[in-house]
Order: sequence, then structure tokens, then C-alpha cells
Amino acid sequence: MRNKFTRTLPSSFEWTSHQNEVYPLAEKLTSRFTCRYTYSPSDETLESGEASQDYLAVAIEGYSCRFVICDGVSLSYRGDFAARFLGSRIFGWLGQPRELTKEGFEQFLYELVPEASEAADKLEIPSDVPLLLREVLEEKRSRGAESMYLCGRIELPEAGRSRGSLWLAWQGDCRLRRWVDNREVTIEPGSFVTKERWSGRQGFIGGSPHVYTKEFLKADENHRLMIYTDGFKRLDGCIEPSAINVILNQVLIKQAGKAHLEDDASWLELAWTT
Amino acid sequence: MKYTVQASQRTPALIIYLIDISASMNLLMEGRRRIDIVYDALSLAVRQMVFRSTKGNRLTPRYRIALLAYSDEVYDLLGGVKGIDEIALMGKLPDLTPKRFSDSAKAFAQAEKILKAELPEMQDCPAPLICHMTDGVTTGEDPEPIVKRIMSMGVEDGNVLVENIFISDHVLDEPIHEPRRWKGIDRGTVLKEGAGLKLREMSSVLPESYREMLAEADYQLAPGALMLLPGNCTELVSIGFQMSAATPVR
Repeated sequence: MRNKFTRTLPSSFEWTSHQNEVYPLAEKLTSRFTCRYTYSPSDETLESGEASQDYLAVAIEGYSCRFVICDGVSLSYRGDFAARFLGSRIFGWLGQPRELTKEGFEQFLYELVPEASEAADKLEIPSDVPLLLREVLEEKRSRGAESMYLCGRIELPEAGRSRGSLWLAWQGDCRLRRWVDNREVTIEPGSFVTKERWSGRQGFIGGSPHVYTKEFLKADENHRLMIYTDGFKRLDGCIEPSAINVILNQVLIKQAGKAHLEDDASWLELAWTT
Repeated sequence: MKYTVQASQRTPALIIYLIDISASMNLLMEGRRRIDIVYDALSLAVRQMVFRSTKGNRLTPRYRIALLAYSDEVYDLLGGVKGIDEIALMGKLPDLTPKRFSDSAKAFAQAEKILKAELPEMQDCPAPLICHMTDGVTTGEDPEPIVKRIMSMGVEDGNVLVENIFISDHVLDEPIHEPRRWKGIDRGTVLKEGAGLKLREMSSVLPESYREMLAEADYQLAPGALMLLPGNCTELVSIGFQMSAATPVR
């Protein structure tokens, strides 16, 4: 069915989360990719009027797709700011025509620190907060804003090359899962732990970024990539697509009933055929 | 017994502090009155709760607290259970003024009343915790039967946790030179004081989730350690109060 309509589908699509909004599950088809996503601040976030500490963005341009998901650290200063700042900068960086390397990515993140630090210093702490809260916020600010992240770029073989590539980088426990022809593929090396993150004051915490690269040929294979934050941790044990859909539907029902999630949650799925 | 439910605005953690304000709390430890060390440690624990309850610029009420001081009577210093946001607005905790006796059974009985009133509304919340700080032998009835009743109460996350901070120089065979490397007291640890033995029977096992939180703060308590701290120095008293606020948060 999909091939029949391929010519009428757009070749590009771009979406970025606004951290105060709920985005019910959406599906976007482009000529080369299928993209599904949902995003929701937790009920605690919505009730308090604060911004979600998650950030999610995806862009498809013909044969290329880039994406980033960030999970700000609530015990750091302004996890919402950290996620947005880091996510938007990484998203922009991935959109530049450049060869993606671990060294280049590390250099980029390292050079972001002074800008992040200055931006955090400029964030206003409301004048009406209790003294104790002000002291705590100042202490957090001195330690820095921190976020975990997972990002990547997919280049399909058709993009004027004989080979396509998948490039991924991350620090922290954002979930990353990949299937080829409906078989789940183990990501190696696969360290996804909360103690690893990026700090707008200190740079890398817990080690340097993990990078995963995979080349793929034109092979008529069906690929699926799924990334999400721990707000969707119930998906961790789900292997079958049907089980994943059941949980997503449960979330949709909750959202429709204005009953939101216990934690900020973001989810993105990308599918393509080589 | 999971002790993994995270404290949130919708599912706040309840912590009941029972503070012994008997006359011996005027005695000095490291050159300061015991009661002042306890006050500072309690204030630090409240600050830690504020630290763990901020989201953006806001303070979300992830913790609810009752503060009972006791001698031969029980004094409700906050006037009921208060949210951490309300306590932050107060600026500082009420003063702790030493009095004469030390009737911990009355304090635990008061805590039991609070729990009976609160538990029906908090079945989705983290297991409540009672943090009891004393420096000696109780002068009233034996509190253990009440504590055992309390320890059998609970929510889906687990039974009520009871922690004891025992200010004493003599409860252990050897002094603790490096609190951050200390493994804690377990059921087999040799204790020298009768009061310590009594408190051990009234102390819960430290849940793994709490132990992990404390490990992140560089305290190396071993699996199976009890929620019993021999507060023979300022740092150990402080660890005790930090332990009380180690409920998981997201």
C-alpha cells in the first residue's frame, strides 16, 4: 500500500516539541520514512505550570533523517532549560552537512559549555520565592544544568551513495531500540546509565559520549528505530510491536481523559526500507 | 516490599520526625550542645528535601512532614503534617528546647495516630518513614510494642519504615573513624548498650532504593544494614537525617 502512494508523499518533515504541550500519538509519512511520535509533560509538570524536562525533535529531508531526544536532570539546575538548550544545539549541529565523528561531536559538546553556563546564569530566579528555595536554586545553578541525550542521523543508501549509514550518540538512560526485518538488534556497546550526562557547567559527567555507527547496503531490509525517555519505561519489556501499541494506546486513553503521565515522557519511532 | 515508588506531587512521601528533647540533649558533643547538632542536621535534611523537590523554579510538595518533639509530653512543632513547600515558607524550623524526661512511647503513640489518619489516603505513595532521634533510655513505657504495630502498617510500596538515630559514644565496640566508609549496623553487629539493643529491634532494614540514594552521596552502607545510626559525631547524625529523606524521586 505504501509504495502505491509514495509519489504523493512529501519528502520532508520537521517537528520540535514545545515543552508545555501534550502531543498525542501522531504518524507522518514521507517518501522514505515513516515517523511516529508522542510527547507529554507529566501531570506534576502540567499542574505546576513548569516546562517538561524532555525535549524531542526530528527532521526528515529526502533520504536523510536527524533526531534528538533529551531528558533534563531534575536534581540539577533547570532540567527543562538543559534539555532544551542541549537538544536544540545538537539538532542544529546534526543538520549541518558534515561528516559525523565521535571526536567532532565531543569537540562540539565541549565548546557548548561556556554558552550554556552563561545562559544558565542569565535565567532569572523569581523574586518571590522563599529564601530557602532561592538558596537551593542558587546552589543548583552553581553546579550546572544537566541533561541526558540520545541523538542520531540516518542516511539512506539512495542518497547518491551505494551505502547508507546510521550514526548515533548518547549519554544517559534514554532508551534506544532497533529492529531489522522485525528482529530486535542489540546495540553494542550498550551502556545506558543515568550517571552519564552532559553538564552546562562541567561538560561530560560520567565519561565521554557513546557513539554507534552502522552502515547498510541496499538490501530490501525493513529497519525500525525507537527512542524514548524513562517516562515510557513500561515499554522496556515490550518486544512485539503489538504490545508496544497496546501501551501507547493506554497512554492515549489517559491523555484523552486529561489524566497525564507520572513522568515527562517522549517517544519517537522511525521506520524505513533500504 | 519494594520501596521504589517515587515521591511526587501526586504521591508525596510522609516523614514523621520524633525528636527527644530530654535534659541530656544539653550535653556537649564536639563542643556543641547535642540539641543544636540535631537541629542543624534536621534543617539540612529539610534543605535536602527542598533540593530534591524543585522542578524548574518551583517547589513541588513531594514531601510531607510532621515534627514531634518529646520529653514527658509530646509537642507537635508544626501543628500537623505540613508540605515541604509550606515549611520552606516558614524560613526556619521551630526551636528545639530541651526539657526533662524522655517518654518515647508517647511519641510513637502520637506517630501511630498520624499514620492511622494518613495511610488510607496514601496507598499509592512511597512507604512512610518515622525518623526517631534519641540520646538515651526512655523514661516512660516500653515503646517497642507500639513500634512493632507501626512497622506492620504500610502501603503498597512497603511497610512503614522506622529509623533510629542514637546519640551515644558507647554503643559500638570501636569508634567510627570514617563515616563515609562505614558499613552500618546489622542484626549481627555487637552492641554494648541495652538502649542500643532495644533500638535495633525497633529499626527497619535499609531498603535497597535508599541505600542506592545514599551511595550516590558517597555513603557506603552495606546491603542488610539497619536504619540505626549511632550518632557519636556530627557527621553520623547528619547521615541519619539524610537517610530519612532518601525516598526515591525522579
